[in-house]
Order: sequence, then structure tokens, then C-alpha cells
Amino acid sequence: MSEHSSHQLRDLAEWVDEQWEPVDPRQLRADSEASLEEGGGGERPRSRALLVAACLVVLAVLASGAVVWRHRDEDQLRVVSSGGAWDRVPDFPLVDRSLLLQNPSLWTGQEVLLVGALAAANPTSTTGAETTQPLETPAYNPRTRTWRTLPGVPLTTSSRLHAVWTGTEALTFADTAAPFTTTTPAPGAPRALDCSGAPSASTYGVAALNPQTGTWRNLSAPPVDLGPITGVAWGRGRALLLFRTGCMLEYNPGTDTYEPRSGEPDFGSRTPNEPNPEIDPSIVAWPGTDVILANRSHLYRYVPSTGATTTMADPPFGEPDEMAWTGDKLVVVDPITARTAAWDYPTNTWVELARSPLSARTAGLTPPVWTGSELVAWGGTTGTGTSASGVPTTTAPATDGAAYNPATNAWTTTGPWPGPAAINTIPVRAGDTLFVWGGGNPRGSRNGMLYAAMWISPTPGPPHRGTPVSDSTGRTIGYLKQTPQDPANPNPAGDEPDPRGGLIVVDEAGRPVGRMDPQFIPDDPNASTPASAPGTTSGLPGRGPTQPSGPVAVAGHGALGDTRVWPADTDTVTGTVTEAAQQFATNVLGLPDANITPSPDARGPTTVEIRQPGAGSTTALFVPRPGGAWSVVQVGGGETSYSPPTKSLAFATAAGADPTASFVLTSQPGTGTNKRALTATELAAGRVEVGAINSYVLVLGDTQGRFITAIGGTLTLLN
Amino acid sequence: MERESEFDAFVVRFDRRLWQALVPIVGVDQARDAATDALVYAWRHWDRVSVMDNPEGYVYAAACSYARQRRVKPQGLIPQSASMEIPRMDPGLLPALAALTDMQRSVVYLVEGCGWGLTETATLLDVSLSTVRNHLSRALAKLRDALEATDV
Repeated sequence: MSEHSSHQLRDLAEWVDEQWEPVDPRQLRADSEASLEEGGGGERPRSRALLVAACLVVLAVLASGAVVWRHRDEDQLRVVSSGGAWDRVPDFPLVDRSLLLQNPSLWTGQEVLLVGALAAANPTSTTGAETTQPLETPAYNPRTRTWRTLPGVPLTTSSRLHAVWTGTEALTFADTAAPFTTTTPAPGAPRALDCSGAPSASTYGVAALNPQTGTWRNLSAPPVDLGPITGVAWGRGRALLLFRTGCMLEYNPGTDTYEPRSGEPDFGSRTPNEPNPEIDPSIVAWPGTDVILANRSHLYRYVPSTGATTTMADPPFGEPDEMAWTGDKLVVVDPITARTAAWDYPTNTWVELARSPLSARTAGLTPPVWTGSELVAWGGTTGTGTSASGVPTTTAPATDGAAYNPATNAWTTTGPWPGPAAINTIPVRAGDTLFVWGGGNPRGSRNGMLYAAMWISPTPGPPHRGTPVSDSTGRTIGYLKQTPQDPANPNPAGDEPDPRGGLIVVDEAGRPVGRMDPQFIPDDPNASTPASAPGTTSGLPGRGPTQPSGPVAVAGHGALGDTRVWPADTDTVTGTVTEAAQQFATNVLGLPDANITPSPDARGPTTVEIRQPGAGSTTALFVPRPGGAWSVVQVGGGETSYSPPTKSLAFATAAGADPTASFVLTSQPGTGTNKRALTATELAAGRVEVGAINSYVLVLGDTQGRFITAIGGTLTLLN
Repeated sequence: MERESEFDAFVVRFDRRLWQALVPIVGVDQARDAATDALVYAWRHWDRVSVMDNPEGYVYAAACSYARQRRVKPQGLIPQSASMEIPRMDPGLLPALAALTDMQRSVVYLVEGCGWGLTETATLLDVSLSTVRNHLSRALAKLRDALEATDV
């Protein structure tokens, strides 16, 4: 099908979605019950007959301040839901087990892993102390609504655990490092940070859990003692370890090595009378090539590749564990005063936001969580007493939460915790939702219970504006939208940049958050270029100085159909579409003997099947170029996504794919084309590090060197 | 309360997708009622529906069934009487869509129009991935042929 028609289908779906009206589940339940009361016990509900009962419910909801509006055909009143909902997760029995609430929890894309959260119960302990050796790892799958139990953590040095998800494994670091101590530096004296460290024989332990196989593998521990680990972040195929001393290490699980860096972050001695000699930093964001670090007073930007540290604007309040990164802003929530502020990364400025409706906490919140559309604040303790300074003193686990919507600068409450009282509750992001877990009796019990619930963010009000665009985690980051044509120059010629607009990415409110390079929009699909007409072109117009930047990427299914991936800038393409496809198969896919089958009518955009005898096949979509030549705008039908923070491509790997016959061809701005083989790890993970690229073709082959498939596209990062 | 909370969460996360999936079957004008009927049914039988392997697929099938029971002939994806301003499109698009089978129309609309993944589509329609691929391929071919004919 032509791209012209594909666009029309998207436009049609966009218009149709604007007609969607959300239904309130409370209204549905009321409809059902009213229907039964009036004898409507039949299987088919009769919504029109329920108007009276519905109105009663609507009046009740009106009294509570909800929004009410009238259906288009005015035959039925409906209530617009004003918030999300809790989804209570089945309880997990704790048989002879207690919970280690301090252990990390993470989202794999399919399951929430509570890494080593189960320890042996010790109900006879008078001190409440129990062993901290993790015995098992509970895993919850929200799709099947089931729990399963994976092995614990095979590390004896597991007093403190940190874990990150690499795409395939839960990479877990444990440390028993002594608390950091040092002498207080003289006021204003420069601090000499020594990160050479003492040799470490047993301070740390590292292991990785593969949930697919349910097995752990032990890995190399940091070779020197740099103090307690305060944070671990994952990006660009590396784990970045931050220590309380301010030292850092980069760990590559592919090679199981710790790699040298250009320099340590410089936390300096910014305040002459700074009372605390500890640096105690935390990683609060990793937006791209640099890392945002924070300690109790200051914010820093650190570039691992150069070792450069820049001091940023100080947070007006709050601590690092009260901060959350939303993708372009750092938001801090003060749990006691309810103040909220956001740091804008490009301008390095803090702006105070609406205050949260949270009950005042006596102890800090657990870190707020960004779900992709909301910032959800949860956890901590609250109380009813008040100290002389006005701070609540009688503590109890807080069971209220609140969600902040950046689009409206407004908070809404999440409602109370839907489960039985838990000693403490821990939030973790799970896709577009918040997973909150805690225990009824984590101090060791033979009949305790692990409770959990998921906060489902409300469906955004305005309908989406085009094909959803996802990042590497599957989270929707925006929607593709065609920009208007420029009437002043409707027919660009030659290498002139195409002014007819292009694809942009918009957020839920329709605001642009990025764009596709207009140069990559296909030519007019109705062009009358005959398929058989030979022609010559110098290839694509130069892509110019477009340099990927910013936090958002264009990626994935739906985006590739409008992008050009081949030929490269320097290629010359001649001949018919069949000949062009043959060149593509030979030069890019490595299939000189491939059979080319174009669609019968090659007047407009033409899908060509490229089949290697005895092996696999793929398709490529060619569009006519001025002068009778052709360009590829789409390869294969696979789904890929592009993650700008890690500069990696995530792709649907193929069974039987082998690194000896699989490679990635990328085009970088200004540096031309690069080809390299995929590693076995990359193939297994379905993820390849590519850096900042304009376009790519992924080719997968099997152990016999036979072609399986190819996927390709062009990616432009967004401002 | 737990039962209510579970159902409410189900509706919040599924209602829009259910609506999208029903549009190519019953049309814009009837999708809301069909979805509402099916969700009310789901609440009545929530104890049974909630533990199904694919509750969304089941509710979708129920919605299609309710739409058929309404005995109101679908007026196409967009009814001709629609008073709303409809998007400017190739005049052959809607007839071409109407000429597809229900499954082909559903697959091409959800995948190409709404941007659903193939797996997501297969799960809701309760068919295999290869079935979705086949229907998508045939639907695209039919649409291409039909639209190119009207381009002349």
C-alpha cells in the first residue's frame, strides 16, 4: 500500500479517536446493578433503560466534584473519570519467610522483580532482627496477574544491594564497605579525591539474574574498596557505580571488566563551612552523554567521557532521594512542606510548582516515580502528633499518595492504599504504571503476607495525534503527526531540502516535542516516474549538520515507513527499481544472488521482495526520486525502537540468528557509514549500541550464513 | 472493594483500546454502546472474567456479539449521516475498507491506523501472530489495488 494511503489511514484513525469518550467504571457498575434491580437479569444490558438510575449516580458524583457531560446523542449521561485507579495485586504468602524491604525492586518489561526480597523468618527473635541473607526473589507478572519465585542472591556480602535491569538480566551489586569516614577538611580547602582505593578482596559482590532461565551468574567485583555504593545507573551498555566517597566506576557486563574513565567527578568544597565532610552523592538522572548527580545541597553535571564536572543551580529544598527525572526535568518533592520544584535541564533553572496534597510526612518519602505521564509520590511515614516546631511526631505508615501532571501543573490524590495496612510500602515504576509493594508483617512470620497494588494512570484526556512512538522500554513518548505542506514551494527540485514539512512528534496535548527530518519524507507517491526509466541521481541530499540532541527519540513501528535509509549520501543509484533493489541486496544485505520481485505496478512507491534462495526474505519499500531513480524508505517489517539516553537500538531478534552472519550498518552524521558485526549478547538481548545515528540497517543471518531478515530505518533525534 | 478496584482498573486501561477495536467492526456511531454493553456484562461476570487468560479478548468478543444482537445495520466505519467534520481523505478509502473482511479491516485499521503492535492485535482478536500477518498483508494488497484504481 502506498504511503499516501497509509497516512490517510492514520489520519482517519486520529479523527476516529477524537470521537472516543471515556466511560466511568463506577457508572458501569451502577448500570449493571440498576439493571438487575429492575428485573433486567438477562444477559444483555440495556443502557438506555438505565437513565434514571444513572442520573442518581451522576448526581452523587456531581456532589463529589467530578466532571459530568452529556453524550453526543444525548441518550445517556456519563461521568468522566478524573483520575487513575488502583489495581490490587494478588497477595503473596510469606511461609517461613520475612521481607527485606530495603532490597531493590525493578521492572523487566514483563515482571516486577523484588531482588532477594525474601529472607528466612525469625519469629522468635526478641529484637526483631532476622537474617538478611536473601533466599528468594519474588517476581510478579501484571499481564497474567501471577507471582513466581526465583532464586535469591548468591552473594555472601549482600548486606546492601543495588540492582539495575540491563535488558536481559538484573545486574546486582552488594557491598559491606565500612561507613565512609574522613577528617574534616579545612574550610575552603580543596579536596583531593583519591579513587585509587585499597585492594578489595571481599568488600563487594556482583551477580546477575536472568529471569528467563531463573539462574544467577557470578561476575567480577570492583577491584578496589571505594566505600559504600550509593547508586547504580544503567546506560550505553555499562553500569555506572557511584560510591559515597564520590568515586565512580564503569562496569561492562559484556566483558566483565571495570573500565577506566577520563576523570572523577569533582564535588569540590563549595561551602567554606560545610559541616559534613561526606560527599554522599546520588545519581538522579542520566539524560544522555552526561550524568546528573546530587547530594544534600548541590546539583552537578558530570560527563564520564571527559571527566568534566559542572556545578548546577542548587535545589531550593529536598534531598536526592526525593527527586525524580521525568525525561527533561528533575522534580523534587519536599515531604514535610509539600513544596514541589522542577529543574529545567537546558536552562539550569529551578521553578517552584504546585504544592502536593500529601499528608505531612515525619520521615521522607520513598523516591517519587515518573510513570511517563505522571509523577507519583508515595511512601514514608506520617503521624498525628506535632512537635514544638510544628512537625508531626506520632509516626505511622503513610497510606496516601499523590500524582503530579506536568501538563496541568496540578496534583491529584491517588486514594488510599487498597490493601491491608503494611509496615512500609515501596514504589517502583512498572512500564506506564506504579507498582507499590509492602508487607503486613515483614519482621518474620509464618503467616505473613506480601501485599502489592498497581496505580494505573488515568487515560489522557485529549486523544492521541497520530501513530504512537515508543522508547526502548515500550513507553509511549509521543505521536507522529504530519506537518503542513509549505505552499510557497510545493515542488522542491534536486537536492533542495524538502520544504513540504515532515513528521513531527507531539505529546498528548498536541505540543511538538520533536520532529523527523523533512528531508526524509518520500516524494510525491503520485509521481509519474515509470519504473522502467533508467536514471541517475547523486543520492540523497546532504543531511546537513543535524545532530541528535535532546531527550526524545523518533523510533519504532510506524515511523520507519516515512524515512529513507538508503542509499547513503555518496551512493549513486541507476537503473530500474529491480536493478536498484539488486544493488541494495548486494551492497547492503550481502545477497548478490537474491531474487527481486517488485509489485506489478511500479509507478508509485513499490514494495520489493528480496528473497535469497534457500534462505530467508525481506521486503523493501522503494519510492521514485526525481530523474527516475529510486530510494529505499523502509526495510522489513520488524519493530525497532531507539533510546537516546543509551544510544541503542532495540529490535525483535530472530530465532536462529547468529553473530557470524548478523551485522548492523549505521550512518552517522558527518562520519559516513559504519558496519560492524553483532555480538551474541546483542543478538540475545535484541539490543545494539549504535551511538548517535541517522540511519541503520540490521541484518540477521543464521549459523550457516543464510540470510534471515533485515530491518532498517532512519532516525532523527528531537529538540 | 478489591473486586471493584480490579474492575475499575481494567476499565481504565482497556476502554479506549476496546473502542478502537470495535470501530472497524461496528462503526464509530455504535462502538461506544457496544463497548459499554460488553463492559457491563464483564462486571456482572467479573469473578469469571477476571481470571481468564485473555479477559480483554473475551470482552471484545462479547462486544462484537452485542453489536450483532442490536440488529442495527452498521453504517460503515464513518456513518454518512455523521454531522462532524470528517478528515479529508481519498474518496476511495472508506469503500475500500468496507470491501475488506471484518478481520482484514480490523487488522489493517489497528496496525496501520492506530499503530498497534502485531502481538497486541493478535491477543485482542484471539488469533495467532501469523494470522494477523496474513490478514494484514491481504488487506494492504486490496487497499493498494483499490486506491490505485481510483487514482486514475
